Amino acid sequence: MPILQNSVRIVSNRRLAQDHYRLRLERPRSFPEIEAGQFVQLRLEEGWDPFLPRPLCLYEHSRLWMDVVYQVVGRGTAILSKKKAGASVGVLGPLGLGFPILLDGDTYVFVAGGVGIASLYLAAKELVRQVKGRARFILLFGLKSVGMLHCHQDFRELGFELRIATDDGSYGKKGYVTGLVEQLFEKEQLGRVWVYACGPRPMFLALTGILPRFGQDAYLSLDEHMACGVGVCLGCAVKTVRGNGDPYRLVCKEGPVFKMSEIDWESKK
Amino acid sequence: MDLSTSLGRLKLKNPVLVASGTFGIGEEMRRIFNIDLLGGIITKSVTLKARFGNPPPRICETPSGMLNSIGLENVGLERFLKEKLPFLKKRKTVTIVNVAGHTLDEFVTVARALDRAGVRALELNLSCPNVGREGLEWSQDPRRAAEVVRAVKRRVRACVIAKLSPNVTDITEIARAAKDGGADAVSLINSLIGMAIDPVTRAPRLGAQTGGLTGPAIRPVAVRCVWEVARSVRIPILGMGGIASAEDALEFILAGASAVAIGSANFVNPKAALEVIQGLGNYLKRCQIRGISDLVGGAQPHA
Ligand SMILES: Cc1cc2nc3c(=O)[nH]c(=O)nc-3n(C[C@H](O)[C@H](O)[C@H](O)COP(=O)(O)OP(=O)(O)OC[C@H]3O[C@@H](n4cnc5c(N)ncnc54)[C@H](O)[C@@H]3O)c2cc1C
Ligand SMILES: Cc1cc2nc3c(=O)[nH]c(=O)nc-3n(C[C@H](O)[C@H](O)[C@H](O)COP(=O)(O)O)c2cc1C
Ligand code: FES
Repeated sequence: MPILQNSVRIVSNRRLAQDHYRLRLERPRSFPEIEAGQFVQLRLEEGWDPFLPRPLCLYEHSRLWMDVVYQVVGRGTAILSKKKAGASVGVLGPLGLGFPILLDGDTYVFVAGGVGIASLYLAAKELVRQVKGRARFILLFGLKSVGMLHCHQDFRELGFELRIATDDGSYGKKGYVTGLVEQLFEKEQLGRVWVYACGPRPMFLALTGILPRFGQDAYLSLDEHMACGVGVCLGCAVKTVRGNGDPYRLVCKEGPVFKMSEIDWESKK
Repeated sequence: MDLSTSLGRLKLKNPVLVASGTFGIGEEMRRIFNIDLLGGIITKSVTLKARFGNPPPRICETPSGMLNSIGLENVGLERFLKEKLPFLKKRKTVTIVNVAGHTLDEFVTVARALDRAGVRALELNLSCPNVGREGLEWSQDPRRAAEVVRAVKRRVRACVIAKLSPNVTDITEIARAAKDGGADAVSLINSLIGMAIDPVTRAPRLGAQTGGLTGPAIRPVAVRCVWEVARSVRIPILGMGGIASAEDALEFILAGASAVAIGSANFVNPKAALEVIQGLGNYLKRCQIRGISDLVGGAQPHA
């Protein structure tokens, strides 16, 4: 598959919630087909500072546009949040291998921590398109506070059951999303379950303590600092439990989606 | 308008290559553009045995540049010959295989095998620590640098380029040693050793604590190294360090480099090398200069 590098126009850059934005980019006609869970590298400035492009998942797309949902966490995302419609950014993509679309589930459990929800929506949409009516869809969504709530309505419209937790109790259940996960698996008959998850590292670590108790694996979208985004710099390595040979795999090229059971979580503590 | 150039015996169709470790062997970049247009491809370092690299994080952004601590991760000689070389042989551009080793024997073994497999040019990465002298790089000791170049030269027909580290007091001394060892050319420069610390976690930002600084931030250091070597040692120079545009490349050429390589800029703009090739062509046309080689070392010192 080709990868496109191009300068593209910003169609809109809308604030969704505190520190969260949805950026709509013009989709070049030659932009290759996008799979759920793939990402792009955005070059924010013409110059060399900030130097590296920023990896961001594709949230939704049409023939004419493609969107990313991002949280302002540092200098690069702050610069991005100030860009106006009509301005341009550099795009490289689509990159990585996305989520597998598994059609034989009775229940699909999506676990999102904060802006991690952004990498899950395309997979949710695709699964619903293919198995709606035959399966149950649940979104477990954890965030800091109600002010940061965003994107959940998109999942509701797809037909997801929503369960939300906030760290400060300002919305939904007080506590972490992993509490919702535990509760769900303890209390309900779910049949054959597929778990799709994205969030901060502590959420992943907590999931590794919960899901195996129920014999459950998960597909996770991981993040690691990146330079090239295509597999040439070897900078985005994640340690796996692969026995003999090289334990490292590249998040940009062989991921960002990995099975939870593949990753060496000790290396992430 | 002639963009062709040479590094000693090695003829290049244009003076713009891609630097070791920033382009793989081109398999991925080929999905973005036609890599046969490059002046040449320098591979990631190849070592005798496979190396798995350093613990993450391996990348950290810095002002106008980045730190990396990849750790010479590569599949090792045997798999390189089997899995990577055939792809490179099919390219319509020059391949330079970068070789690294901890011992003299390792350098010689890898270089010989590549030479026998038909590789026409080798770049010796003299910036990894030499186990013989704990912690010290090959290119921090002129005697050792000369020794490894000589040992390899004696056993191969390929063109041998010694890649030097800027982490030394006097780089001309090392360049002279490489020449004395018989090097056909020198590559200047490898990354500068650097470090970044996160005040929130109070820990180094790289898993390996320190790493190599690259990108536009190091360009003035690299240009200075090329300038100094060009003015005191008669040896062809492959210049690199922070090149991202044709103007940047011209600095190196005017300082004395016969060819240049694009490194970290590939991560920001994968087509950077193509743009540099085009920009150099435009510059020649604009200034009515017949060939790029007429510019090499063209910068005149102030009185
Ligand atoms: C495959 C992938 C997909 C992603 N998708 C999204 C998304 O859809 N929405 C979203 O809000 N965020 C996403 N992220 C995280 C996003 O890339 C970072 O939040 C962003 O790079 C931070 O840049 P900054 O300049 O604001 O922060 P700074 O901390 O100032 O950045 C400094 C450097 O660290 C890197 N960095 C910092 N945090 C991260 C991180 N979590 N992951 C990777 N690199 C990081 C930056 O890229 C930059 O090189 C994704 C990360 C990856 C790897
Ligand atoms: C991620 C990365 C990996 C590198 N790996 C190697 C390597 O394996 N061998 C080597 O000789 N140089 C390696 N280098 C150094 C480059 O080849 C080059 O000398 C250096 O990056 C300076 O050029 P730049 O500033 O244009 O990047 C690496 C550089 C980077 C950024
Ligand atoms: S970011 Fe360069 S290999 Fe993954």
